[in-house]
Amino acid sequence: MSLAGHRWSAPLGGCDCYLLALDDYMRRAGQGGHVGVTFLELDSGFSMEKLRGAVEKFSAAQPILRGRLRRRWPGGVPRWGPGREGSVAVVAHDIGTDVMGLATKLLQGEWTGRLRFDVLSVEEGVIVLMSWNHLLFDARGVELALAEVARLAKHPSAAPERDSWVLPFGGVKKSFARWGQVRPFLDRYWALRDSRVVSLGGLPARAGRVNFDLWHFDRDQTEAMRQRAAPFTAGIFALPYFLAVTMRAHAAVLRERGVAEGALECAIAVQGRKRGGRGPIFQNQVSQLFFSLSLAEVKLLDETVGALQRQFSSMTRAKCDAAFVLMIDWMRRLPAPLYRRFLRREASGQIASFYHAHTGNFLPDLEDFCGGRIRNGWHVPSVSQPPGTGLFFSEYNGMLTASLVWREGVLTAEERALMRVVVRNDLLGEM
Amino acid sequence: MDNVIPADLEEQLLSLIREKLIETGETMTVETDLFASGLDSMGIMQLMILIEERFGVRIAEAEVTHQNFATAGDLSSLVRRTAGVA
Repeated sequence: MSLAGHRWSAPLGGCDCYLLALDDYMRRAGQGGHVGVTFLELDSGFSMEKLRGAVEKFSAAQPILRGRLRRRWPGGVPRWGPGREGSVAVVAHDIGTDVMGLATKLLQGEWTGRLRFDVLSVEEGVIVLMSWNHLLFDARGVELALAEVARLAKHPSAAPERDSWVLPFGGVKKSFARWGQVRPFLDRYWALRDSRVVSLGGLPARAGRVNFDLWHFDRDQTEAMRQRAAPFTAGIFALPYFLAVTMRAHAAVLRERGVAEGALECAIAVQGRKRGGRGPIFQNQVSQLFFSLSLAEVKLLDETVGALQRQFSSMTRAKCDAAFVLMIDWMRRLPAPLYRRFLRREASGQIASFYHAHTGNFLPDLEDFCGGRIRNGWHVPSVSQPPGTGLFFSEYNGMLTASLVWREGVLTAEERALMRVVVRNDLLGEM
Repeated sequence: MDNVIPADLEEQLLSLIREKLIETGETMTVETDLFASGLDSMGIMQLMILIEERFGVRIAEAEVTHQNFATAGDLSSLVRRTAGVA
């Protein structure tokens, strides 16, 4: 669907509306918006002029980047429509600018617009920080946008991609004919709603800066990790394995705090685009699977992986992912206060015990960006409080990066160190 | 559910994978590396269920290995073996 004309309107999909409600929840709690920062480490061949030219073309072709959200009436589906003029910011910073400090500042979501680029020179080359708003991009969408900017930089005369948005799903009448398909989600929702979910941030929602730690693993370590994981994953089931590692790191901190009872719940995003498929750049295309274990069930790594693997199998068999997509499609018309109420009732009011994703191979088909060879790349999304923490993984060219994200006041330095020890022990067998 | 293994199982598996799971600009054959084409945890789980629904063959967890799911050809061998069809 092209949005390049003067008059346009694009309805939000079900997942966009879910994330709009979360964004709204976070803003009301003084937590900034729901944003992310993607890091690209490049060598010195990078050209600032190429980036500026490509971003300008990309921005001009995508008015949704400057779009404004509106509802035509209180029970209407929110829509993007024409907004302010201007293009995506590309900012060059002085040599010596603190990369982590700038990224932390960007993660607070206090910048204007839906997308921006910051470029910093470092000893080894250049770091590009791409800041994005989750209302428009999921992790795969961010990578597609980066790939499109890279394409325009490499081929300055190429026409920019315009079909970057799709109309979501069928009409309401058609959807209601599929009532039975929503049932698996509802069954799971009701089963988990009152299961005394605990999180490290806890209630109530509080403002607090977003902070993050990065744990990089080199190729040898990542390969060692893969071999160590093979008996648990059969070499292919990364989802329950990394979720189990994340769950064990959170359980270790809870136990250290003296929490002995409660459930750990995590909604894992499931990418809706076909594997290897391009799909639209904008519009979130994910569903969710809701995993939950009691603290008592979070035991040794193999037992935890096994328990999560069984839930993974049974939820996939019941088609819970499709049920959630249909449910949130119906919920697009919910006014913001009702949607916030739905969120507040999720997982005993904690939304989840933590956030977690393994977004897979980062930009697998891209070797250079605006003239600079890519050395590494990863995503750092902001998190709401509650739950107040998130642990995210991605891999570039055989090198794993983990990003631990937390809201100020949720984790102490000692607790972060404990989580790091648990993660490294699980992934690498280090004690 | 009785299993129904068609003679052209490889082709049917390939169609299933192309229609439901993997999108690739390149031609996909029974020898195409499914993992290199983007098959992930969720895709494998969905594929197991699609195979069960379409062909009535339930693949045991112990059989879910990288080798058995590497290509549509490998997968069809696994399905035939599990169904007891030579």
